[in-house]
Amino acid sequence: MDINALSRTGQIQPQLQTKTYSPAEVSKSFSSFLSDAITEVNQAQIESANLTDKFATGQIQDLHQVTIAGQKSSLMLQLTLQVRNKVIESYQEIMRMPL
Amino acid sequence: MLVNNHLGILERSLDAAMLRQRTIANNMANIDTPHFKSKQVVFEDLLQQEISGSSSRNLAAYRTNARHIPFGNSGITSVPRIVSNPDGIVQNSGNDVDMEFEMNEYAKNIIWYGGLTQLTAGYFTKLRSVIEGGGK
Repeated sequence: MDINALSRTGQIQPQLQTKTYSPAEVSKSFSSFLSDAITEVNQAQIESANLTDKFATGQIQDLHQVTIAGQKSSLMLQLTLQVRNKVIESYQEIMRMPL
Repeated sequence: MLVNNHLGILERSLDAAMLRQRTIANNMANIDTPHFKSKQVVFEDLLQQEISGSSSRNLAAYRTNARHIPFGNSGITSVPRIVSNPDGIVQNSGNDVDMEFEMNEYAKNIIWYGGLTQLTAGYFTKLRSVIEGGGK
């Protein structure tokens, strides 16, 4: 058993790589993130609507599945709206900055 | 925009639920009426056929051009139907109301109606929150 193994770790210099992203890269990754999130929200809405139809046609006996899907889609929509509000708010805040 | 397919389905289902409620109440009220036959509301299967388009009675009109206006049924047109079995007999008086069955159907209908009202309310809440911009 090599007890002194820890002493060797001092030789390893912590290499802090500060990778710099170009503005184009940042905006691209952010836009893809945003588009993924919106797609997910839309998917939740569609799923909720489909479950509603199935419940109306009596194909679903378990009401909780429908209500949970409905609440999920509703919450995701609220979150999206709030994020949008915050983004617009911050944009207006920046625009008000005295230069 | 407001009156789309989903809202139509919900509305029709709520109508059917109310009709079923009245039908069951009528059955229960007539439990001692001689020769009374209990009635049932058939709706879910009809709606299912309508949505999946498997209904054979609903023939699409023959159109020679895709731009012709389709006549006949378009959209949700399923209406609940009241059916009855004229040969059913439960009591000696010719009455075929089964109290336990009616109570069961009544409870099921209440749950169905409650769920539908919740979903309808949720639909409108979502629309309103979008219109109001999420409420600041």
